[in-house]
Amino acid sequence: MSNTEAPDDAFAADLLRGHTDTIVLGALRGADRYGFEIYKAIRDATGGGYEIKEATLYAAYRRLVKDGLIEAYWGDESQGGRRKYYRITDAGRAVYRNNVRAWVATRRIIDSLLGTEGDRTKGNHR
Amino acid sequence: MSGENVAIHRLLDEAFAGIAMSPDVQDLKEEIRSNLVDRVAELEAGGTSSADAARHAVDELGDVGAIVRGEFPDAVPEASVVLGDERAPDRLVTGTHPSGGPDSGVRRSDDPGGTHASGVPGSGTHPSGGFGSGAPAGRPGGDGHHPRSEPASSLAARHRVRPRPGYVAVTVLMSIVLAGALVGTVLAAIGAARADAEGWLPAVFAVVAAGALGWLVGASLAQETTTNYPMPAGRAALFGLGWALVLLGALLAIAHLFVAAPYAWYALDGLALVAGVVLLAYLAATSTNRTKPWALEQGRRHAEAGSRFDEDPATAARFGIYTVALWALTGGAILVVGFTFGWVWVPIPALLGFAVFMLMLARMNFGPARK
Repeated sequence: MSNTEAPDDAFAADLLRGHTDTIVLGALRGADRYGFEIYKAIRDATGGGYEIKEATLYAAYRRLVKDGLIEAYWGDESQGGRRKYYRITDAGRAVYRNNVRAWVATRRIIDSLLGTEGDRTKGNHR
Repeated sequence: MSGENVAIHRLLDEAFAGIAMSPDVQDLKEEIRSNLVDRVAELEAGGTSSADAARHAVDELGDVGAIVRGEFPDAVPEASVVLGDERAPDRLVTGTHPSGGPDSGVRRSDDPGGTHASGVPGSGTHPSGGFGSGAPAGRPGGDGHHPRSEPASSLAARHRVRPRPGYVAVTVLMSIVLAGALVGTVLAAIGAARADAEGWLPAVFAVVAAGALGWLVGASLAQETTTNYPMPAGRAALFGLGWALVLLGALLAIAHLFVAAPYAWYALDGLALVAGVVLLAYLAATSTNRTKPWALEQGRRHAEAGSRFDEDPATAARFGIYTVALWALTGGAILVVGFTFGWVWVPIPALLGFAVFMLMLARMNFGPARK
């Protein structure tokens, strides 16, 4: 976000990375997507300031598939390389909802502890 | 278009050089390839030359060895593959990381070397899902964090979800309503056939029964259980609607049978039934996993503990032949007993056959290992 003018990069990156799984689940909520689409969606959402590295994403896909929160399938593109799509499962939706609920509660607590309640002018959707 | 594709494929092959190929690794490579192609197309659309785009996209990808090692620890030798020379120092950090997971997960995009992120230690083992521990089922996505030796009973106890009292109470109530409405439909239909009851009464009972069943199905699917996450509300409601339609169609058809209704009515009943079946078939075809990660892991462990039939096809084949022989003999015995001693005694050979079958299964699939 543009309002993070000069944050401690490692700290911000760590915070973001801690939510990789939830972020991926959120990106799949609306439609099935393949890796690059997810990557792009995350990059666009961060305004290009931060991105979650592909290596982290591949590990997240693998983990989420193993836990049954997403399913992978190969698309049937007639030309060009086939793409591996991911679909969120009902379990994934439930976990996503729980995580969002926990995040909202935690954000409130941290805002209150840090005295930053009034600062949330943007980016507070979801 | 073909020019940069060649470059991508060459760079990708270089990146995967020295990695032991397995079907899973090949799968990952193909996934990476398709994503790289898209990324290169995007870079080219932004005006980058094709060779630069391919190099840039592969550089962005980072250490392929780390990705593969994170997912398939056996596939990569400890000296990992290095893509961009200028990033070589990172390799040391990643290579000695105990988890072997892909490190340096997030970086400033204006920081091509990824130096910030590589300063974050232990990022490969971060608790996935972040604040996900709010889920009653425990942290989702946690793989390999609890020891594999944990017995199933304690796992189940830890993940236990108690049913909500309100749900249980209403379910009991609805079950009574359902049973009453089912009996009511038949009684009302019999009454209507004798002209003792109003003609619309069976339909009212059928609608109540269908509604009760629909509620039971929908509400049950929307409950979180020890092993399952709740189904999304809309989907659960559709499941309830499907079963309600099926029951409604069937009950109305039965009621119409009693009162000898004109055929047109059966067409309507059939329509409700078919609509319900179609809806349920659609829902079944689009269903996705609801099982919780710990239960999935549990299932995998059981599968590992394994069936000898999976490992030893010859034993499985022998078991199949014995089974056919056993049931053929049992069938013969049933006929002989039935015709000689009387059909009352038929359950005895049937039971004996079943007992022998189960013993055979226990001996052949789970018995002590043969030398």
